[in-house]
Amino acid sequence: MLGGVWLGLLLLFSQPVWADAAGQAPRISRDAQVLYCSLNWPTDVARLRQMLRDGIALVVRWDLSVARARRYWLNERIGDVEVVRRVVPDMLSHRWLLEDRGSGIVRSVSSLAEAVRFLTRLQHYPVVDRSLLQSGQTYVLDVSLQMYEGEAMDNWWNRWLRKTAFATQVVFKEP
Amino acid sequence: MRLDVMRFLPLIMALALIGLAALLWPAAQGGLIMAWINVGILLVLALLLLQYGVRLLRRRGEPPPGSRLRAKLVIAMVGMLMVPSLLIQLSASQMVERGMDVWFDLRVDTLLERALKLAQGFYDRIDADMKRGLRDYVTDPTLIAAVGAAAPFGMANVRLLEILNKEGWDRIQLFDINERMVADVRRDGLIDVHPVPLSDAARLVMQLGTVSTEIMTEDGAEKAVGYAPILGHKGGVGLMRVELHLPQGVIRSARLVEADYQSYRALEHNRHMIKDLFANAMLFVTLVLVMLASLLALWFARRLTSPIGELAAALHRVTDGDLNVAIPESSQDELGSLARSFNQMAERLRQNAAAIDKAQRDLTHALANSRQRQYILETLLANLHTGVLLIDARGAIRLLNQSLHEILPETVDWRPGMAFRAHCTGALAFLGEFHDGMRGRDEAALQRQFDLAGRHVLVRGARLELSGMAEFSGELIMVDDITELVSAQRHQAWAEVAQRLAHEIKNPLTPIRLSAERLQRRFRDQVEARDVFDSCTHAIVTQVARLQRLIADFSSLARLPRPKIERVRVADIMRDMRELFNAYAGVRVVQPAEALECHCDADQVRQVLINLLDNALAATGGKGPVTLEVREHGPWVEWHVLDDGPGVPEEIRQQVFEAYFSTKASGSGLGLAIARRIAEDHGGELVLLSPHRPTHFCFRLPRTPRQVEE
Repeated sequence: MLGGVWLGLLLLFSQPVWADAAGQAPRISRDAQVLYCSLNWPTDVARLRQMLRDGIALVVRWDLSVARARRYWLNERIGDVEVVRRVVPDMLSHRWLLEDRGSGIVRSVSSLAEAVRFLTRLQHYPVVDRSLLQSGQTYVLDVSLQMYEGEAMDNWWNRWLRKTAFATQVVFKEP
Repeated sequence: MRLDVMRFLPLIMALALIGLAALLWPAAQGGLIMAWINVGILLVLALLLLQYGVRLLRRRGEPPPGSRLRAKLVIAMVGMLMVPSLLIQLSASQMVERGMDVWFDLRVDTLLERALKLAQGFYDRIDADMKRGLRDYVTDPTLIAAVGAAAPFGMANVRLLEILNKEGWDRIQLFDINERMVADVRRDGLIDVHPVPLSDAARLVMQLGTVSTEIMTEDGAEKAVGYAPILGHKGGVGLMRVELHLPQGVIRSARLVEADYQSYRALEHNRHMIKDLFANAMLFVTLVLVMLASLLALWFARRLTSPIGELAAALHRVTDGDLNVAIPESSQDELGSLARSFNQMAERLRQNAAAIDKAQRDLTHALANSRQRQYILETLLANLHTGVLLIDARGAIRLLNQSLHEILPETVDWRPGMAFRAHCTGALAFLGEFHDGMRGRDEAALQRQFDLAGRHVLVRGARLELSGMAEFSGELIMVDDITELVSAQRHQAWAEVAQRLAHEIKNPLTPIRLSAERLQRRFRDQVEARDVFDSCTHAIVTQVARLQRLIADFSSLARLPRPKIERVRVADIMRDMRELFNAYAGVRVVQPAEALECHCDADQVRQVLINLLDNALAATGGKGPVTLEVREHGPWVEWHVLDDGPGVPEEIRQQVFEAYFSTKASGSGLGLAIARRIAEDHGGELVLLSPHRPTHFCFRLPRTPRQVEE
């Protein structure tokens, strides 16, 4: 019990902040109704793999925000999406439990590479309904990522104090 | 100039804190929130100290009383807390370092690794056994027939029960190619054929045709689930799903081992962060303690130094001369006793100051009176015509005035402080003798008159005695020049004698003269010795006439009237003189400018000039040359009478102006005396400038009436 408290305090106060250089820009794709985003987090994959092998659960939080670009004023926020993914290692069965907090889907995989991809890659992820976008208008897609060990810190102070590990953006024009 | 380190101490401490903050600045990656909190606290403390330091430096003059002591107390108390805190922190850091080494010891690591391997071995064994068993039934004909609906339902169940019992599984499910469950056998014997959807793993097994297992959790219990394809001649025809409930005790232990391992790895992964966290936590506690201690020390120091500050402020006010100070005597401790003592001292000082002030006022008043009296005395002495000499008990000159120098020019070098007796030599010997006479007598006062080479001085002395005060003992000597007084007294006496003599002589002279003339007229022809008779009667008449003139001169001298001063043109007087002495060819009268005027009695001036011209003619035998001229000399008008006669012998030069002194047989000796009297009555003078060749008299009168009055 005390060990858990200690570990919790440790994780609370010693939450490392992952900061990587701005990587590649997100790729935008569309269908008739939805705007999608694909993006890789260019991080130290070997480190992630080692942590997962050591049984440390990892959580990544992607924040995707679409705003209408305005030249002489602040951008107008159109919508934002939060993607929280967690990988929990099961060291006894050599499997990885992949949790998507947004959809509630939980999968168990035996491939560590898949678990790492689950954390570091957004593939064709729906961001915003295109009915909210205007044709010919310029928009900015901001993407930021935070990473936590153990559990995602959803407390208000943690949200306030959290430090972005990765951020990028892309400016696109709605056809 | 002494450098006041205390004024710079807050800035130095602020810089030290900023340096410490820079040292502890968290890394850009992996920074701790606690580290940022500590850095924030350090910077806030540094900012406060910086502000205080700048305010301290900008402040001019002396700091508030007690502030230095308060600062020292705070520094001492905080320092006393900081030193052990830092030592404890260093010790704790070392202990944490050692503890980390012990905690993450290789043996612990190996032990946990082996425990995990053991737990994993259990799962691996379950997995391997399940896969091996599943592979045995992939091509089981009964099962192939069952999934192909070629065998009766009961046969399939029997076969599945055989497998269940043989392999020790807890449940076996059989699905056909269309994922329909065709059989479900459990160890508890219950048969359930409700349709259950296949999981993704099961579908994957069907597609790939391989054996697969997974661990599932249900109601807190774990079970191993295995999937095996049912392969017919033409490939997969169905799927067998088996379940094996894992023993809870073993599973719980295995999961605990896994959890411990994960925790251990997580801690190991954050090992440096733990150390940093611990150090930062300790630093945070230390900083909080230091802040609390500072506040406590500040409160305590303020409480302690407040009376001292009040005392210091009161002392400043007393130093500045404000004695109306009192400090509160609130506490009963040593500070309260000090405050009471200070208040008593201030009260005594107030009383003493009031007494001193009163004495000072009295002294100032007395000094003012003394100065006033001294001023009056000095003014009096300066304007006094009497020479004053004060000699103290030691025989030194204490005081003397200007009139003394004027009366006795020999004393011109005398100064206060000089020995009196040593300087009473020569012409001043009489003063020493007078002083000795004073000291040798019992009387308090002494008065004597001395004749000094044509001058008469009156010396009066008084003894000053004040018992017990030598400064006010001595002799006061006053010297008066009474030459004129004596002369006036003598003149007054002669005038009275002359008047009485003239009165007594003048009365019988006229009958004598008339009788002599009657005798001459009546009996001249009757006497035989007519020559003798004429000679005798003529001698009587002549001598009587001379006596009458003499009596007239006496009367004139005695009853010389006050001059009637009026503005007179000098040229008119000179013109009268020229006409009067026109008969004498040797007399030359130089006519002055017509505008020259003089305030005088014209008749008396004429009398003087006639007297001077008569004397000059007499000296030259009536031939001259005699010169009368007028000169302007400053505020004076001067009449100069010059002749080339034999002149005045040097030995009688001082006597020619005395009354009844004459070198002529028939002279009364009053002419020049009367002339000088007239000059003096006008405020002027008659002097002999040159006794012979030429004999030169100067009759000088002031031009303005003011000077005449003076």
